[in-house]
Amino acid sequence: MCAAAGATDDRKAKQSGMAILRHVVQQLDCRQLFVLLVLHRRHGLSRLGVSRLAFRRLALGCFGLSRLGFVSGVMLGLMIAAYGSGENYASGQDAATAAATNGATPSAGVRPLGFELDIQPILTSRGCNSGPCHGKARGQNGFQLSLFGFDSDFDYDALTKNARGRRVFPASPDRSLLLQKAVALAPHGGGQRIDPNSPEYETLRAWIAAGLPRRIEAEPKVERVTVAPSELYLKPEETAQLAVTAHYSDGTTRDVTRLSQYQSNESGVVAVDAMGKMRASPIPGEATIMARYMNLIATCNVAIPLPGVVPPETYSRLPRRNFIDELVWKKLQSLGIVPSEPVDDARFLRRVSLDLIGRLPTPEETREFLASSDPAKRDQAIDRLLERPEYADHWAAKWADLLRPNPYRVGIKAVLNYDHWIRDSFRKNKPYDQFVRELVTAQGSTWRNGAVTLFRDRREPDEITTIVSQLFLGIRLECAKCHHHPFEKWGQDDFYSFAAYFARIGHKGTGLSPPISGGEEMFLTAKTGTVKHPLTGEVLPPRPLFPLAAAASPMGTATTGTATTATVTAATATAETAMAGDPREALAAWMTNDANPFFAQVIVNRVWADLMGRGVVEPVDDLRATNPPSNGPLLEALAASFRAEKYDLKQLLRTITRSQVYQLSSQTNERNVADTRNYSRHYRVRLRAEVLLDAFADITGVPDSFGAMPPESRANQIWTTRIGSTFLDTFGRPNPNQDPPCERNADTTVTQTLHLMNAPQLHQKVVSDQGRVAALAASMLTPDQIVEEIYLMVYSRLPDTEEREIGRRVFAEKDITRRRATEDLVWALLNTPEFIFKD
Amino acid sequence: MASFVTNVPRPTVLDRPPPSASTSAWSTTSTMASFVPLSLALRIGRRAVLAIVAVLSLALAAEAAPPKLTAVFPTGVERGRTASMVAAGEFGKWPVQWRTDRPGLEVVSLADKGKVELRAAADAVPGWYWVRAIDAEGVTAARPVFVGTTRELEEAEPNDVVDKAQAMELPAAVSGKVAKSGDVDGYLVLLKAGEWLHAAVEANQPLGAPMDAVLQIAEVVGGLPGSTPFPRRAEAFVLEQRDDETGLDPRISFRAPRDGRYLVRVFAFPSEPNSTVGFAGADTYAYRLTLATAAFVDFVLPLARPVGGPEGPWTAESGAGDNTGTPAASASRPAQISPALAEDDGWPAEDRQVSWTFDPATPGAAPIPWTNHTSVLAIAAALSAEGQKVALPATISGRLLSAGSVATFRFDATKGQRWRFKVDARTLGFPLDACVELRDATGAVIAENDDANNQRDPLLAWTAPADGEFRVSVRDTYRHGGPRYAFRLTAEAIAADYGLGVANESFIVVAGKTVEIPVTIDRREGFAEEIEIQASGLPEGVTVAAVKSENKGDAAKAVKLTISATAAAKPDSVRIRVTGMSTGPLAKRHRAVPATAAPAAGSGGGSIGYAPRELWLTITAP
Repeated sequence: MCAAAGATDDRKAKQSGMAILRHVVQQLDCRQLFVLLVLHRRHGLSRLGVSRLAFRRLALGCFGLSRLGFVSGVMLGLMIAAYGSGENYASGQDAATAAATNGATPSAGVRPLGFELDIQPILTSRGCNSGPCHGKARGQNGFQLSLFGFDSDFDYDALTKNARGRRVFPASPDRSLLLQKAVALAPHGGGQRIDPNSPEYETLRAWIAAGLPRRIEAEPKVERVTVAPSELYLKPEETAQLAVTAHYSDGTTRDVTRLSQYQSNESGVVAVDAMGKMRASPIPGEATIMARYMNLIATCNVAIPLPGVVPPETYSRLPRRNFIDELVWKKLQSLGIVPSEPVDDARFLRRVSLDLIGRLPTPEETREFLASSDPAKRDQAIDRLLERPEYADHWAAKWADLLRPNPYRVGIKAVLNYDHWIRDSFRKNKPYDQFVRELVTAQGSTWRNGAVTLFRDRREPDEITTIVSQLFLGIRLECAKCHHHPFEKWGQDDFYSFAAYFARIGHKGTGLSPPISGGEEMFLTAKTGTVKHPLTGEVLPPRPLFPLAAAASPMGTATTGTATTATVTAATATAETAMAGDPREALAAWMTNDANPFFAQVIVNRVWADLMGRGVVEPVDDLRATNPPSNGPLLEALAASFRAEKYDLKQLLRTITRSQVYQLSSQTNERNVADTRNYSRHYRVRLRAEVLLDAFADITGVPDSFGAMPPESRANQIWTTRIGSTFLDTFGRPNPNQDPPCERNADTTVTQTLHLMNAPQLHQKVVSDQGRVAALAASMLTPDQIVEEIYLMVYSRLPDTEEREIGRRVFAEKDITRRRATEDLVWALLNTPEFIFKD
Repeated sequence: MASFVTNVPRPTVLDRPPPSASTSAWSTTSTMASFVPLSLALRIGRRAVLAIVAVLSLALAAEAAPPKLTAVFPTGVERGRTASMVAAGEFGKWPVQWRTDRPGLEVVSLADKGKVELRAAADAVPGWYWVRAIDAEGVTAARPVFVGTTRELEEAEPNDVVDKAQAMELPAAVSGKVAKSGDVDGYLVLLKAGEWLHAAVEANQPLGAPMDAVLQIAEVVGGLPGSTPFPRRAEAFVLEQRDDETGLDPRISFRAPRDGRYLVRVFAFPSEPNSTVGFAGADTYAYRLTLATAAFVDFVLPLARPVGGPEGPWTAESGAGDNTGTPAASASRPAQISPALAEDDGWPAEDRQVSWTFDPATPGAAPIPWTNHTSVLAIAAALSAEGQKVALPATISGRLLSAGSVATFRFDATKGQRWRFKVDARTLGFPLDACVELRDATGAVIAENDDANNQRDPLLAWTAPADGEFRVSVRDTYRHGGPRYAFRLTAEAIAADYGLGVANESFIVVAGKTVEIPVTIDRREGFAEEIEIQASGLPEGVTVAAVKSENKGDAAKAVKLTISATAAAKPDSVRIRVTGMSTGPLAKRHRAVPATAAPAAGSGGGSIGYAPRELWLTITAP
């Protein structure tokens, strides 16, 4: 316990009090202070308050009253006699008196400084070793540090030994180049990075003076950081202060709020400054603040709920058809967002048909659906759609974007067979874990087992690593190839140990020879093959990115618990025997294990994004702590459900489409108009290029013929993007020269609008004598019936009164033929957003 | 037209040169010119006559070269029936004579050039027959025609769109052509739920079409008149697809999931890859598609016919089954075999013609070669860790039915014994990419081979290090497996022997002259004996001078056999035999095999790609 001694004299008291406080603060390094403001009657204070000036002088810097009443772990109280200088914190959020001390160890005397414990954090937090400055590959102006300090030995040498050691001057520490440049006393391209009056300056100086110790005795290593609070609701314009604590291997903790860097992923919603003070914007929303200390990261999820109170009955009244509804309503309730109404039958049928099979319902199907009064008709429609043959091509085409390479690079036959393998997996409804396992462990000839084309395209272990980890684990490892990942915990060791799983892919046959590359190549498990760390040259054995924890599923089912124990043992065993058998088998076992959280999460996120217009995590294959899900429990529950259904993708689709959340209307209400990530309504998305082209062909009754396809094929059956189609290219098909994985862009462009209006082939389809439009015009239907049929064809719904009136007027125009009227109306509807978008 | 004769001194129409033995264009022209009557010549004018002469002389000049046969289309005839076909090639004087490699099929020229009639005997052994055309100038290469037990149909274009697909009654064999770029051929069949459909394309082998066919089986939906005013048009959704199965040719065994209409589609890429994604097609892209339900003779087990007997039994397999390695119930049938040819009697297996196995009630036929050793069929024990006990030398046939299967055979060897283990799988057209491993009694691998001679099939030569029991195992390099993963493992003692080879299969000798036949001798394992090389089957007036090949100098590897024809020898084409007999204690005799008879890499299965082992000699008029 420390106590401040009060001085008899006012001013002296103030100064000596502050001096003692500073001394105490610096020596004990207790930057988090729970300050009890006490009136010291003797000094005539009658009010609570601490002067802002005093704060500045002491440079304590981290104050703010946490809304959640952060009072845990108060161990040290410090009484301050505060002498106002006229300024007064009267109220509110950023009032005086601040955080709690947490575990600062009282010990007499100066605490010894270590390079990793004390110096590197300063360099990191002040940005010295960041990407634009000394942390880049060649350093800056001859001074190089490792990016964000991931290589402490290197940094220590850079500071103390390189440049003949002239960066530091132990005999006269203030004259060290390190300090001179940092405070801009010497010309420094980076400007002033450290305030000469700050504790950081003192620390650096003390370290130099102490003779540049590398380590202290029994130096603990920092294991993790935590941030307080980790979840927070703020009112608009409200502020709050974060406190970051580092936890060490010897059980100690230290406040590192000043030495952390802060970043908000939505600074327009919640902004954060360099000292960790958050400020909410006037508009409701959500953001995640990342606090990084050295290479460790902690996040705080902040939400600004909508103002106003929504009665709880609003939510308890909502239907709950499965766990998805429960979890989404819960999130909406916490934000005060009210979901939209359920969607009507016609729009539901169109939506679910386009989502599940990429095809519009026929007018007959729509009529039958609308006329049915069976309460289970929606569920039955879902089941029917999942059994349609179009299902396989629709979903295989999406995976083809991610996997299928350029035939000029790997050969036409290899691409044809790869495409067939992907489609065949969906035709047979192969369980997803088996799909991934077969792909990752594929062996054989490119002409017989298309899956090996992955290895023909990506020939080196590091190339395979990035695509496998991104697509099937949602972990983007590219950064870790050269240095430590800036936003995640992966380093080069992790990257190359993972790459080592692919070190023993042997091949025989003919390699690549673009642009024909027509030879046959076979892939098998070779007996030898290693991956070396690029810097140290050390041979790295295959090692998974993280061990599988024997965690029970979030749903808490007993079966998962026992299963994971067995699988953990198995997974460990397989990892160890990786070198004996095929290391890829061990990798596949680790990846597809039920205890691997990423595997199921990334695929359910991808499928959810496809159906709902936005993933729970965006981008869909970027799962990391610093990119948190908009609804964590939902993501985990979807993943658990997927595992429980043995990775059956059709079951996953059934679960999602049956939920009430999926079946919400896209019409907004005033309480959800600004929501773009919590699924309070259905988000409209522009249809995929292939779906649109096929829909055009279905509506007009004139099928397409593509080069290199049997005639009258559908666009989503195309086996390579090299098959020409202006329509598909206009609507966002990936460029054939782009390497997979390719993600589609659902933007609308002017070119697309113009193409729909003017393309001769599309026009031909509408006016064709063999087409549906001509048949309609030639039939015995009345104009009103034709109008109804057209709306059913294009929009898959019946026209309302106004629309019928418009149609009537079209047919009643002067000098118009029946055929012409039909064509005009069809053409007009095809050029509206309701056709192009999924509602 | 006048340009054709610029290099030739213009004959005077009325010239009648004396008869000469030379066959130069000049003299031919003159000879032809002599056939143009003077009256005609004067009437139509000199230029015109020269033009006529030029054309005729060209025709005659062409006649001087041996004929060429490139293809016979359609590709097959049902036994007991007659079919008319088109023979593509270059024929001088029509009609030409025809020969087949074995009895059962007769080919007769029809009046129109290039049109022939094939007559298959009712009891003809099914399989591929090789036909050649013969005329006074020579003999063509042999081209294959199938004689089958099922009806033969021809493709009817247009059949590329789903609702124009050609309806088929099964079983049937269709001869079709992917005639131009982008051509797709569709055939419609009706199947019941659970029914098997076997579709086999034979194009690249043995027909030699320069195409890489792709086969699809699709379900047809829609296209039926319905109650709605705008019925849905027919669409096909692919359920199965195969690019390569036997070499470049695909085969599929498909089980219908429900009653319905199914479309069998064929399209192709060029066998020589290029950078065009579009489908290819040409007049040479001819294929044979066999469609059968129930069963199909895809291949036969065991894959060898022992020279010393016994004759069988052989089981014809359909190659159908599921992923777990369970063959279809209807997949196997007992098979009959073609009778041994008298001419093969007494010759070692490698010099004999291939035999054909078949089942009269089932479409298809499968070839099997002869073997000098015992034929052993792998039993279930072979797939266990323990393995199957065999006595060497032997030819062992088996299948790796499921993924990861390994076939192991135990045998006894004495120290110093030298064995050769050869696995034939890809060369027989099976998808198995074999690797062979030799293990000692402890289970440690002491020798292995994956690919030999730039082929996918392994070959391992081994000397037993000690007395004892050893194991030889065959597995797929990639640990795949299935009903068509068949192999033939020949384990024989490494012994000195030789083979005789001839580059061409046909030779021409002019009456009164000689011709040299270069014969190569492949002496293996230091075969040191002297070999006497002879030719037999020569007609009257044609003689041969026997040649000795001694084990030193150039003659060890190549000799020239000289065949002389007297001036009185009748112009004819006959089959001859070039044989060798070693004069030492080993006394090995062999027949020369033409290079064209060697199996093409990757060919086999239902259609072995090699031509028959025949040598032809044509005696032409002087």
